[in-house]
Amino acid sequence: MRITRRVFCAASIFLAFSLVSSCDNGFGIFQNVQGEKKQIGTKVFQATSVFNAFGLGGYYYAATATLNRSLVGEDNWSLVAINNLPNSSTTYTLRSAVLASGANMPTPTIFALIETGVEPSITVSVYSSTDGASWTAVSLPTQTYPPSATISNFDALFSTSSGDVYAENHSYAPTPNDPNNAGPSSYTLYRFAGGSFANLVSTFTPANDKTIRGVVFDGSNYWFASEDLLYSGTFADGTNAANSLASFPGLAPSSTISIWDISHTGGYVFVTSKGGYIYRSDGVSVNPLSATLPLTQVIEVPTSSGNTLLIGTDATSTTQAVGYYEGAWGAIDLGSKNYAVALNSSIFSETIGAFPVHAFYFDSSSGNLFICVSPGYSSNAYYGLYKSTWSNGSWSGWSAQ
Amino acid sequence: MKPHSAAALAVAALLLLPFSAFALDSSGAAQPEGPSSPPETSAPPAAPDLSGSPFLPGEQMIIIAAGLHIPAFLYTATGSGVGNLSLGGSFSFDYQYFVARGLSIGGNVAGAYNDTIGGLSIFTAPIGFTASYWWTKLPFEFSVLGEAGGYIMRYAVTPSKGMIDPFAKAGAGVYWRATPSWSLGLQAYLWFIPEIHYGDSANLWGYGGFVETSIGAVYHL
Repeated sequence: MRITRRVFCAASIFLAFSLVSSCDNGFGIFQNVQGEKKQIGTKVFQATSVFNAFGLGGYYYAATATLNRSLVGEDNWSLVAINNLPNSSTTYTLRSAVLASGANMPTPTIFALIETGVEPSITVSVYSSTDGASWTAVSLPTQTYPPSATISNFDALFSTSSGDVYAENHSYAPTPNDPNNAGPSSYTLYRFAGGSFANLVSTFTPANDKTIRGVVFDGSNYWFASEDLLYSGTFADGTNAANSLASFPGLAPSSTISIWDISHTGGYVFVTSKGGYIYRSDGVSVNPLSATLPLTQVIEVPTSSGNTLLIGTDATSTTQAVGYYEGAWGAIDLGSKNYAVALNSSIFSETIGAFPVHAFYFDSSSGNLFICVSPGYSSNAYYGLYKSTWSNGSWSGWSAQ
Repeated sequence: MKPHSAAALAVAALLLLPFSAFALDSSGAAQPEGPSSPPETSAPPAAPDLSGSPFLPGEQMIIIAAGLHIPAFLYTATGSGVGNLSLGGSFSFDYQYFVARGLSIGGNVAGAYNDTIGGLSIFTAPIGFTASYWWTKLPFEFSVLGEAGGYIMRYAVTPSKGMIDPFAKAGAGVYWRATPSWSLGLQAYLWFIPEIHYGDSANLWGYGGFVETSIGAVYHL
């Protein structure tokens, strides 16, 4: 009898909780259903992560495991053949692609880090192009692969608004017979100068297993960020760069911070952390936006009520990402988002609402804002690249590319 | 013709079927019998021996059904139209107890699922009290039903959103008495789903209509 009563009580509590949690007076289900848009994108982005996007010479470029481009205004994407490799996605795997444009790169240039071949005989190369059609090989420091005692290769590129380009080198000692079960990794940063990446930014040395998260230029200083370090200095090659963790407003001591991304937008440098904090170069930190979600790239975009920040989120092993947070500095909304860029909450949910954000790219001349996400591989209903267009004081809402 | 319109016409035809059958049923169970009934002048046609349940008080039945859930209309403060909802599915479990000849009351639990144009979905689970009227023209049985209650709805956005509000449905069914215990048939109901908001969110109101067309199995207890 007592067991029956307990079961009944538990069921009643569960039912009551379900009923209460089902109610949200501030959300119109039918209105949101009517606000949905059919998302039909390009097959190349279907259930495929997109890591970066940029524009050059009348084209938009998007980096997945391949580099793809579309004429501005056409949303018609095609594969870019790098170094005249056959126009097939199986001939190379893109590791990273960035656009360098600024005082130190007067002619805007694409840098693509590609991998060809099959383990253990892979080749990692960098090619550059000013038009996306003809490519030039860029010299990289010597890399080593199994069965070498130490594996050393390049796995990411970064660029700054000054036109500088950097490459992250990853070196580690593979466990015998199992190169994937690697020993301690060291990450180092090389800078492109004089036609090659031979110049090591030697002042910036993250601890073992601490990855490099990005490099930005704020108009005066270069900021180099790894998981455990934040260095800044006036020289692109890192000369005299000094530890800025202590002086960056609000940043915790290096022993506890885990930097996840660094961005320069709206005139400020933003540092985001793995633990869900965001810091701005001239102000105090916004206390954790999420206690569990890492925060990624930050971008400031216009809205009808003034500029707003979009702050990307990342997933953890136990928690799903939530797209991005939105709001003005100091008033970033975590719950009922403003949805100015998405247009409404249903479009946000049907596109990027549950996915990690890798990057934003805003083309202010056309008003096109791209968001690069990892949509997972389970459903073809989701894409890695979405676009929303700012026109006549409002956003069009996200639509699949 | 749009699929929804065609479906609505089909449902309307199904809805009318029991009424036409009722009009033709000049000697059925619903027709009052009295001394003025004309004497039989010839042997009645042979009929299957399935008339053990003329829906007398105290009888009970259970109806299990599954079928289609067709969006019929959707109105909100910002617009109207069901184009963003696709054809879905439904199931229901119904218990009925006859309190008078042909008249039953009972309860119904159901669930329905519809995808949306953006790849999301809504799931609606109503629960309510029912009142039905049944009559027979063997081997067929007919019913009209009304239900009032409440519903829980989940909308698969991230994070998911929900709503609890009143619910009503009405419709009819026609069944073939296959055995003394079982009848099988078709039923069609219009679900009316109001979405009520209050206070600062009052402008989020809306209401929708869905047509359930399902295959039902009636078990006569």
